[in-house]
Amino acid sequence: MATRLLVVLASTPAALIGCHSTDDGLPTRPPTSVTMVSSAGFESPTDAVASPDGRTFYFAAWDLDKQPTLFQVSSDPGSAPRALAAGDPLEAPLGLVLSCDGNTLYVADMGGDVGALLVVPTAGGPAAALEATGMTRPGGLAMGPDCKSLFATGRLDDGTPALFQVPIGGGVARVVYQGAPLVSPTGLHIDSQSVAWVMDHLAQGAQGEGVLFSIPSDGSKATEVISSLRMGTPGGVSLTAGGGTAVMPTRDEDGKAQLTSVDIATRAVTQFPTPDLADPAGLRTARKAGVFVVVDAEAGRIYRAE
Amino acid sequence: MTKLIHALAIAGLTGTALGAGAHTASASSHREAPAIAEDQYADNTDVYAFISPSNANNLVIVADYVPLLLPTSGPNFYKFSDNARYEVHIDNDGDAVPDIAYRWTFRSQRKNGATFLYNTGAVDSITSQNLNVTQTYRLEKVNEHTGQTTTIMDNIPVAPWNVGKRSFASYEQVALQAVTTRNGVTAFAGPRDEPFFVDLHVFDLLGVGGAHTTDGINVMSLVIEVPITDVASKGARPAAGDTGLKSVVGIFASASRPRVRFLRDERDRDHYGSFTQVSRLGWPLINEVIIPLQDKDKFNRSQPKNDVANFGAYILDPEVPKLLNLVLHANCAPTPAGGRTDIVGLLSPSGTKAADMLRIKINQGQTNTDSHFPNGRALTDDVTDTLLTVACNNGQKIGDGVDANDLPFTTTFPYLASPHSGNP
Repeated sequence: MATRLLVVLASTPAALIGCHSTDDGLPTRPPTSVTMVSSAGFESPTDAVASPDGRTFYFAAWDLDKQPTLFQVSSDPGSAPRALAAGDPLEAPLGLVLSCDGNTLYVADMGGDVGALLVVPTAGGPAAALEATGMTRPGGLAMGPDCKSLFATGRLDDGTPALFQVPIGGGVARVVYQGAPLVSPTGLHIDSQSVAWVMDHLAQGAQGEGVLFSIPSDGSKATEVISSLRMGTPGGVSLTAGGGTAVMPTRDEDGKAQLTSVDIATRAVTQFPTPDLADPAGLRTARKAGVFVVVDAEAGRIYRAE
Repeated sequence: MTKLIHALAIAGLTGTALGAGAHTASASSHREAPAIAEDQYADNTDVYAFISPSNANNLVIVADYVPLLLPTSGPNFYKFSDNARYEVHIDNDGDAVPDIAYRWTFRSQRKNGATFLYNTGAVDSITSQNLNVTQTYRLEKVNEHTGQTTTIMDNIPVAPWNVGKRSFASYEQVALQAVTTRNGVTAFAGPRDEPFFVDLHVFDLLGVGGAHTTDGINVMSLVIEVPITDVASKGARPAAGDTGLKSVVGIFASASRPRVRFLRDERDRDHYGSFTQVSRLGWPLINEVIIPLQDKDKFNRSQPKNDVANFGAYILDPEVPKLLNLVLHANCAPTPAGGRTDIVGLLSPSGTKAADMLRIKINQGQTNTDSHFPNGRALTDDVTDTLLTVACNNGQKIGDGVDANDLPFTTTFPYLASPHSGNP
């Protein structure tokens, strides 16, 4: 792990070093392999997260009775998922994130009249609502670097797209950023400097629709990082350790699945084809292991990438 | 007859005697697949393409949506969906991969929510304050390879529904105020008379006999007239006589929806996610009668470049002639060894990749009179008869007995006939 991290830092432009503290434990490079972990007992997965050690994946999907369900599954290939929670109050779980200790699963649920944030113990137990006053229709979730606040993409009551910060114990949602150029913000990643990296399905960027934005913690601006991303629903993004590379599941112009990596400093783009996937979405990293988890929303599969 | 001979010639069937035969038929692409039949506003029904009759340097494309509309359909008269993308895709280098798209997105407005009336008084102008429910659109040109969009026109009015004589003393005068020209592109969006003519009794066990079942019916039409150089590869119109891959453009229309829709108890519904294609059409009748039930929804979701791989078997051995023989004893020719490669040939003119695209020659010198199916599709083309005759392949002309539209088409933009009135 340390060796790979050094390699990345050595190849990172000097101007970037110091901009982000290293996120110890995150993957140090984009994935170069994908392995199917689970494909039975559920359909239409939306998002997934990995336990800090990368050994367990949690994902949101619909069970075979069409109930919205949160599942837990080993990250080993061929694993059978176990339902953590199903049905009410879950309606349309679209975004997940784990607490830093891995004991609590936070859920962005876009169902109901205004959507909700929900909390589920990973040890098992019912889902409970988490107050987030001022935020509606949450879609993407990420954990702040201090492990004390959640960041969520959603909408103000009047429908304006926005990025919010919510205490992990619930409370008033602080609006970090609102309005244009955001249109339909979805998955996000928060780096060690509290910079939000926000995917947007429908925002128009310089090269076309589908944009990755970076938004500093003071919400002073939303800067386009890359556009013309044909992202899944929800869009997913994770940064490698040190924040040097953003990794996103996308499709190429022929509709073939791939993992797109963008060097944040140079904007250089590399593609890793993932022909086994149909519609890759919601990509996340483990906090302390070099593992990504990716859902295939259309084929109904969970993949491990590393 | 001339058109049919042209089609058969391309199919390698010249010299075939054409005589009167059994009347039988089918429909174009109205409610043709299970999933899209539940989503009427996104249902693409027909595509037409022809060299402009008024300017041979222009190409006219008509994409029709929202099938089988009764003129008396109030109080919520038909329109386009605000939550769909309507697109016309153009392949200009023969690989069945679209290079350019024209994209329409719509937005509805309401002046007075305290009434049930579509219009609150007589309407004499498209900007009339009595027109309570209105819709506008943005038309964009999309580079299909990069996704980059360029707005051609924005905030353009959709022609209103032809509610009736009490609302519109002169409907067409108002509707034609929706014709707009910007950046060299002329556009119209709104209701028109359904231009497709057919005996829909075909779906009663092929029980056709010349019933004009689409007479008196309306449809929602998108019409554009664009310079051919706007759609030609690298902006260069091929020389007369050029038969290369770039001498034709392939056209198909589609509708796409956001992947996720939320229905709320207390609030309006909303949508989330990327757009995904739910309907498409190039040639008439392909998904209607060539693709079987088990793959119709897949067809609407898929891309033309994959048609041979996905649906080639259905084209090589179509069901239609077998049904014609079984039910109507039409004496259609059996499928030859190797399958109906003649039909595949029709779908791949000038060496282009076979796909469900409406292909039309764009060479210099092409004129409106050259634009007849399968070289484009004119509004007057009796494609049902043409395709049934090709499918039956026995040297006899067969058809549904409906040979023309109920209303005459016009020679000026938008070329389609005025929609039927809800209260004539």
